[in-house]
Amino acid sequence: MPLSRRNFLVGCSATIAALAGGRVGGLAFAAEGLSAQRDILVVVSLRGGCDGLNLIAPVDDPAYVAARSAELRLAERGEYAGLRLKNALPGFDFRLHPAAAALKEIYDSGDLALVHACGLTDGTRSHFEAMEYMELGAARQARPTSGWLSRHLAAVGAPGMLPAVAVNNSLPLALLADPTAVSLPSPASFSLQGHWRYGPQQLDLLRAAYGGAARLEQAGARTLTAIDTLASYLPHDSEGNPLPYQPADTVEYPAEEYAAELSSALQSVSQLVKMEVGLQVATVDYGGWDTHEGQSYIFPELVEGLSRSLAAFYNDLSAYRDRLTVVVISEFGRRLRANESGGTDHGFGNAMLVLGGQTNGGQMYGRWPGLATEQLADGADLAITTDYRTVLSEILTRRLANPQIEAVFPGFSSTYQPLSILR
Amino acid sequence: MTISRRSLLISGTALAALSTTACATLGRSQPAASAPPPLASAAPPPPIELIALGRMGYGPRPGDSVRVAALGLAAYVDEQLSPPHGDDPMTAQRLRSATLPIAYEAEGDYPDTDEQRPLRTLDQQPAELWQLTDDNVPYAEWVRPLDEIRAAAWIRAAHSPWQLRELLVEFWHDHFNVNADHDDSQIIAAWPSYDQMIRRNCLGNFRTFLEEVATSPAMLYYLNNASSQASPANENYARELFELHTLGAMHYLNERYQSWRDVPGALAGRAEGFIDDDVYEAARAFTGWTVADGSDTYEGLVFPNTGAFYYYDGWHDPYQKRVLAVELPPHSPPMADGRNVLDLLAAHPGTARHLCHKLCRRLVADDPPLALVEQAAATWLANQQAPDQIAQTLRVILLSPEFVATWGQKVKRPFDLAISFLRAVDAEVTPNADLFSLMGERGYNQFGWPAPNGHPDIAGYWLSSQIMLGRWNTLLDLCSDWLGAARIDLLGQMPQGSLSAHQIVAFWGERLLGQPLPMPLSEQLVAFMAQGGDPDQPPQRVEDGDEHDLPDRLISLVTVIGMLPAFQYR
Repeated sequence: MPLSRRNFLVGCSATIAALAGGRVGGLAFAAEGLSAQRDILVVVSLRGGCDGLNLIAPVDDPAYVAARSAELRLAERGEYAGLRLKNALPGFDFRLHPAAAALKEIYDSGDLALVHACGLTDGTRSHFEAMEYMELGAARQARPTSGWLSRHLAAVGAPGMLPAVAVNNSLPLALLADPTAVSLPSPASFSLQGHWRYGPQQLDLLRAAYGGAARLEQAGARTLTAIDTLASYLPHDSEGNPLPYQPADTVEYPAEEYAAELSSALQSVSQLVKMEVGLQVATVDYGGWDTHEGQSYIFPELVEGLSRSLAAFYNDLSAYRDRLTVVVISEFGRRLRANESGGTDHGFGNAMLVLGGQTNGGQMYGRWPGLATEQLADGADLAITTDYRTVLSEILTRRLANPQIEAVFPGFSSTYQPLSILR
Repeated sequence: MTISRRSLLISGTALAALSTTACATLGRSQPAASAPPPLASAAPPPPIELIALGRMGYGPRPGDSVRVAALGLAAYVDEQLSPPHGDDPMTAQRLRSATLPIAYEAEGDYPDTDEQRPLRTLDQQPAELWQLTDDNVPYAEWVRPLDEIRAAAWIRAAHSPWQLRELLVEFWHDHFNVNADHDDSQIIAAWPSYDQMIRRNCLGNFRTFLEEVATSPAMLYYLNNASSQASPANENYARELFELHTLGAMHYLNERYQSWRDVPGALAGRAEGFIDDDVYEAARAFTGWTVADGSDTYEGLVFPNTGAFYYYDGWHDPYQKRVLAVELPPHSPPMADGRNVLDLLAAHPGTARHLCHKLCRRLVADDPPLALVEQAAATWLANQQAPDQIAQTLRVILLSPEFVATWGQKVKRPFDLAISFLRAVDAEVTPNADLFSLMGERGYNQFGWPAPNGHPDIAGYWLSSQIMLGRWNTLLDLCSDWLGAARIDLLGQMPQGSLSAHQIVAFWGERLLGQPLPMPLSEQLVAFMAQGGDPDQPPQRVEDGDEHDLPDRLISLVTVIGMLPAFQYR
């Protein structure tokens, strides 16, 4: 005795129409005034450990050339020639991967800064530990019970309808224990797909049932609120169906499969920003960087996906640039010397990218430790000369109006020295 | 060495809420104050038979709880720990009659195809499927074994009386996670045999299991050991062997110790944990463990092309190694280095603790009582040579007081929820690819979790808004005809006669939750079912309702009961 198809399809749109009612205009206007005062941070996590030494590299360093075959490194000329970076770190000819041409343009325009030899200094080469420590924003000994973004939002307050959104199936640890954060891969499909008449009544019953203090009940209540918010704020057609997201004219997000995860997530972020729901923090993931094998096939595609997706996003939100900061981070870099599978194993130091209208871009930051064996961490990996929290702290203090570094990164503030990446 | 283009990517995406979080407290002091509120509101626990059915499997079908109550917990545990080889006759019949559609345009030797095809690959070995890795095989053909194994998993979980085995097969698929859903034809051709291997070992001996995993083509491709050769070796498999498959992150001591000598116990030959040096050495030990996939070596040798495990000495690093402070001599016989590493890891007390912690986390609570973990670990270690080592360990856990005392401290994952709903409404499951894809969008990508740690087994991950909404929508989808994933006859299983709205709500509340609905929710559901009519009379069509109105309302009632908090716990 299945739900009849006719009723089912009608149901989807009518439900939303009923929820949306006539509230759209008024609420959207109210939220605009609120969120216009705050900056927006987008954290892009390259999951798996991006090979920073294949992304931005000193192509004329003999130690670099000796450690890898041609297809796993950037070169001065030829098939693997990198894009020469102005205002690079002193000592070497630093180049950017050729598949990152779109990012090179933004770098040259002054809105993208590159920081190298960054990372987590806790000495783990485990994906899972490194991500956990980074996102909790503290060493294991500190026993954090919340994520760094959660503590930031607690410090500055989180007014607005959707202050923190993970564009993913679940929340990253960076948003652990945040009381308002929601996961939302696709705003336009975030609704209960119930019967046209009985679906809205099911929502009422769920509101009554998910009223308690238990964690599961709170999670349900938060979900029900998000459903209502999106039903109110999403633009709908005349039949009440949410309209698919339409990026700005001339902006083309990459559609290739290898770019899809990041490209579609950033479109969702863009949509949420333009909906003016008070978004302050968004997290997105881009996976596939764990290139133990066959790196020369997959890495250029991922770099291209990263570059074109970020460029499209930045152009899509051109009206918001002055209050937009994007930071790109990965749990660790990869070993200088390649393995015999045509890949690289887990390492330490890595590059971070900072993109935004208030970035002192067009230059590289950090201190290059060198790639000679005695300069490497454990004789094997790029050493870390800039703690990842330095970059994030600068974003907090200069862009997100949060001077409370110690509250966000316990134990870090005494060693914090800004690099002036941001204005 | 030809490397399949499709085999390259191991995505690390969606790694939030990592399993290491729950492990992180083990063996260390207790977590800081400001504990979050409990997962569930205080409520009286259900009868023991419902606890057993809900935690040792995917919940009761009508009649199960009466049978288990009569049997008693201990007898039910013993029964479930000794399933017969293979499927029971009814499930086997369902697997034989199940079909999935397949359609594509002619390509190479393959003509135009558009048919409902039975599940043919479930018992096949890589050699029988290896031609699917050739060029010019239609996509729908070479990805098909994955969907067939997924469909079989749904049918078995929903219908098999051997519920504990199905739950353990799911557990071990997560523990020895391989992402079969990233367009790698070699992993998919090896997928039926990987699932068979897990089924064969799920209650057996861990050392045997570990070597079957280490030599399985699916794992060899997924964690790249198939391409690992001296030197430098590829450390991907070795690292996850230590961190995920055996000792666990709780025994990764790299932050604390620079040298192997410094690890406690090392100088006595019993290192308590591992550091990166152990990973590097173990990676060398497994060089040469690969797959007969027709690869060319630099030396001019061409491997056979059968898809079977293959040891190639030409890739092996022959010199001495030191793993967990134990010396492995140079020039050992074929595969001896790798087998020695598996011996060391399988026998290690840390592995016992890690594995028992995970089993307790699956069956008892996210943060299981440490005394129970230790008790299980002692049984695990004492039965290292036993062919039923895992079953004996499980018996300790399932018959512990903690097993029945911790009801509600686990939240159902989307697969648990879907199957338990189907069982509660006595549905016939007819799984299909759209269902698998919907489940993936809701956080449960069956056999497709991208990272090697498997789907998380702690509530934090499964309480996100996307997944909460996904729970609710999944129940609606299972009852819809557009998805066609189940046959459900709600009216046919209700008592005969004209039931009032009150009686209908009481019937389905009792059926899904195993106990009466609490007030005032019960009255709200009755009002919903009555839609303004007399709750003590049979529900009537609403004024503008057609012949679909009452059936649609009944489906909406039963699904919303499945959406309630009480149906999310186990």
